[in-house]
Amino acid sequence: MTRDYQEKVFRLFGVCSEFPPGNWEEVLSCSGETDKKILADVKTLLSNREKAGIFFDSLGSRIEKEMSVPEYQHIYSEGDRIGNFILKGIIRRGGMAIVYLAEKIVNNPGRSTDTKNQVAAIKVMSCHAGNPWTSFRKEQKLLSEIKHPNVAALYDYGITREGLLYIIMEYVDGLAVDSYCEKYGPDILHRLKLIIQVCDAIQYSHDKQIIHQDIKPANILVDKMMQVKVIDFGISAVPDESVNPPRTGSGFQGTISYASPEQLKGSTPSYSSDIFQIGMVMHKLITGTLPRTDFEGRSCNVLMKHSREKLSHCFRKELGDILKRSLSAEPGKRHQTVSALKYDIQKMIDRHKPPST
Amino acid sequence: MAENIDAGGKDITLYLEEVGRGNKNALDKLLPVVYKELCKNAHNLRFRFYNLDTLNTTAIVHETYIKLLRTGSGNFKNRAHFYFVASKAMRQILINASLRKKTIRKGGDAKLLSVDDIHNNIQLSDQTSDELLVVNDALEILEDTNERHARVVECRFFGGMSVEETAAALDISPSTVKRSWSIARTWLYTFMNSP
Repeated sequence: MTRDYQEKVFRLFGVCSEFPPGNWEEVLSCSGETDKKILADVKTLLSNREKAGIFFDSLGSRIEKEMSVPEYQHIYSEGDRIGNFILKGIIRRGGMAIVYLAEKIVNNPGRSTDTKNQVAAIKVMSCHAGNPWTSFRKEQKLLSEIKHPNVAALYDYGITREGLLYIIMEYVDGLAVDSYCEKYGPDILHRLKLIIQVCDAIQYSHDKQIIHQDIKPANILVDKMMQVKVIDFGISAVPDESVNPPRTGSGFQGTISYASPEQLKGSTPSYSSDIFQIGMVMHKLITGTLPRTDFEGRSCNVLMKHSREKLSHCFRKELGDILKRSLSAEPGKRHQTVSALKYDIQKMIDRHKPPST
Repeated sequence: MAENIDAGGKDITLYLEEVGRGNKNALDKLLPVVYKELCKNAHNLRFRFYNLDTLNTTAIVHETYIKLLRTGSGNFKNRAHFYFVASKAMRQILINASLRKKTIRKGGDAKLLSVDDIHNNIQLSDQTSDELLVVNDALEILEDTNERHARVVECRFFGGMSVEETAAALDISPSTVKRSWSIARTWLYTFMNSP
């Protein structure tokens, strides 16, 4: 193809582009160009003009988006395979990990007519499998023993071809507990019952010697049956000297705003931190805000001013006491176990339940 | 002219002026420096924009310009020339990242291709890297028949430059840039999709 030829095509295309598509034929016939091949080439270009714009816009925005991903994250696409699952899309993207929706690969499609394909959530951690791998493996071994209605089940785990840790777990079709409360506006008793379920899940994991370490609304899902499912034991650690919690170098790995004072200081994870974090979630769900750091000095009435619900003075005081205790800066002053916290909440619910409902 | 380009010094400005005069030799000298600097900044910016989705090539190019010409000697004309060089470098970065991706997918050793750390850092999806490579092949053909159109593609598409910036960088009018970009991308798309 010669430059001259190409130039003629480009020039004619440029002229036509100045007019609306309805006038192209007319412009071409008035152009005086007689070379049929040139005319055909121009027409082909014109027919692709819009699609070309869409293609480059889409490719350009994808490049920008994919370049924005932190260097240690790897985006897998729909159709990629992890473990025995095929990825279907992204559920959410966070700083530490990306969670994908995935479907189990059916080896014998002929027989799957009456059974639905198993759906799962796959969490791909953003750190490369280096040192933490040993403890990761041990920890996950423990995790696979966890079977509880309030904990999202773990199916599988491993390392992707790109060297990233992944965890395949039960897909929970639901909302994060704070979004759930915002959407449906349940009353305080309902909210407290959700916290009770969180207590059940965490007490169960503590019985298995697993500390969650990152309890926050985003990790507490409420499904369609109003069942709580605690997810993301991803950074949870075993409180044992022989197994160090996986660390990426920066020390504390959870979400700062829900972290306990000792977590922020970088101390060894403890069961008590989980109790503090349940207290934080409870505070958030009931008052709509997170407590300030000087929580202990604040009166319960001040604490409850954010709640629009009219609560009896007595209820307020009890609630305030529970929060105050679970949110103590000193771990020793908190509830001794999650069960103790749950017991206090349950007692309060029972006392203030509206009669005969 | 000094052989070594000092990334923080005035030599960059001199080279940019040469590039502006159409000196291919100066472009060849400047390209690796800008390339390296862009890589560094892409890395730093990604850290800064940690949880955001707002990082873009324009931001990287701009940041790099500010760093390289911190001496303050850069005028608008030089900036335009710099953006032109940076667009070329950005094209290389993206194509290298795509090539790396393709090599990994085919089971090859990615280290063989990894000239610089940046290629490990940019993680493009299969679709994006495949499309980038096809665009690049088509662009190489366009470069042979119409270099100006190809340069507009580099600036507008790879460098993320605006119509006005492209016009200044290539010393042509904004309306020419618009027309050229429309022609070039339509031709590329048609070429890529022709049997």
